Amino acid sequence: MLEEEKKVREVLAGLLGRNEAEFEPNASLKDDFDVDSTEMVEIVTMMEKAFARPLGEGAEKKIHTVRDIYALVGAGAR
Amino acid sequence: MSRRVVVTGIGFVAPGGIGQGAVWDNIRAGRGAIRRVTRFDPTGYPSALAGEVDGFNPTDFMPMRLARKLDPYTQYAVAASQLALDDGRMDLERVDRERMGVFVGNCFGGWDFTDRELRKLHTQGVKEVSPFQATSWFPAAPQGQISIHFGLRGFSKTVCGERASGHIGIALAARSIASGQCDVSLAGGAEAPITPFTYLACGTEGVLVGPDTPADGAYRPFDAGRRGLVPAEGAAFLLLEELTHALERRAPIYAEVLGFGLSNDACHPALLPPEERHLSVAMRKALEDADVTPDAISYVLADGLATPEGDRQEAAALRKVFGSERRVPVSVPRTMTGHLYGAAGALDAGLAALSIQHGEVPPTVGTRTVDASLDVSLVTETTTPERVDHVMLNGRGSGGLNASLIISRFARA
Repeated sequence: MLEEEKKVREVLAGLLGRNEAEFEPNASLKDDFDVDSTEMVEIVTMMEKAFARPLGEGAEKKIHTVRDIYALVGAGAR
Repeated sequence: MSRRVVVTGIGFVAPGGIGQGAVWDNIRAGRGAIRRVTRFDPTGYPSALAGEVDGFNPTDFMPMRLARKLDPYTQYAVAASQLALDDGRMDLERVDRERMGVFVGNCFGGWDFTDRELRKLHTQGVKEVSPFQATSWFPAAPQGQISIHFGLRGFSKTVCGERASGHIGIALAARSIASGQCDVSLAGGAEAPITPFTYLACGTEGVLVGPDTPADGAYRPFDAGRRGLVPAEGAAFLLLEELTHALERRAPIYAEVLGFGLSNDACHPALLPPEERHLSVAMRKALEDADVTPDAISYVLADGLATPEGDRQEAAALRKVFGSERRVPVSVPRTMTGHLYGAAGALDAGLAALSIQHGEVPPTVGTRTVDASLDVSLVTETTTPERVDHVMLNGRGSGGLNASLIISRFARA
């Protein structure tokens, strides 16, 4: 696992109170973890902090799966 | 047709205890929980004392994922609701939650969360403000979160009636059940005003004890040397239930909500009217609503503002309603917890129900020399009268709101 992917999972686990292993690349944040629109804003904010770069305007609307976050932070999805 | 409404569960998160048993034990023993503020440094504030909740862990009542999105006052509300449901042995899987409501009294909203986020906004910028700010600060947040957390979809409402919010919330919940709008309701109040901004707002109203007041005996209503109230945080919720519904599930019945009266002085945003006029109106309306005479009232849980004028007017209202012949016993147990503002009436309602169950009148602490000019019969030690049948609860808010509630012994007839 790439270092960036590990970091994404760590951030998600901290925010959503789940185990890092649960965040499979194809896992849906909405369907599998009940993430709502407000939590999605927080996820984007925390990812931007963790990776020290902006994810771009409207990033929260582009995220559906864990893999989408990998793509946005430039971790490369595998 | 009006249906009867009974109290079947009580949940407290208050200074001096979590759970109705812990709070009642401390109250009846006269143990005070007022102390110097520890949530922040109160140096330079108009007051320095508060009632603070100790030993509260939100994750005992909800997942951390939810807890961190909520201001403490909503955490207290969800916790006190859970305690009331547990106390009332309510199995939510076996009740029609479409007919179960939520009524919450609150004055201030969530300023612990807001203080923090405003600081970030002004020092670090827009991007640093929590996205949960929008749903954490407003007065209806506890009602919404309780509804969501327990899946309650019945007739619900948030009441912002200043320090009388809790009284009004319980009364409106009882009326919603009596009128058939729902069968069960979680009704109460929640506050967390011990934050830098809200505590200051309480102080600028001019009703708090001064900054050099010692904690012991600070809040002394009806005392010749009364100096104001002490604010407090916490939540109190009652499980209110239509009588048949409660009997069918064999719920414990503490008491019955029998009457309510509301009036308004309509005089000034913060000051009291020149003379007592409308608190007595609210008290008489409550008696009429309950269909009981003043003689039937066992004792009064007074508003006990503890300002010279506030207590003078409440004493005048007591004389008007009860006459000068009968000196009805009066108590202010919130002298031990501090004044929970929008939750104060709910705490008093729970204490009234417990008082009826235990056959005891909870005491007032702090008051040393009752102001003789007020002619008030203040209960300063826990007493055990022959019976506690009907308890009158008074609440007054800034802006001239007066509320009076009557909680009574449940009788099957």
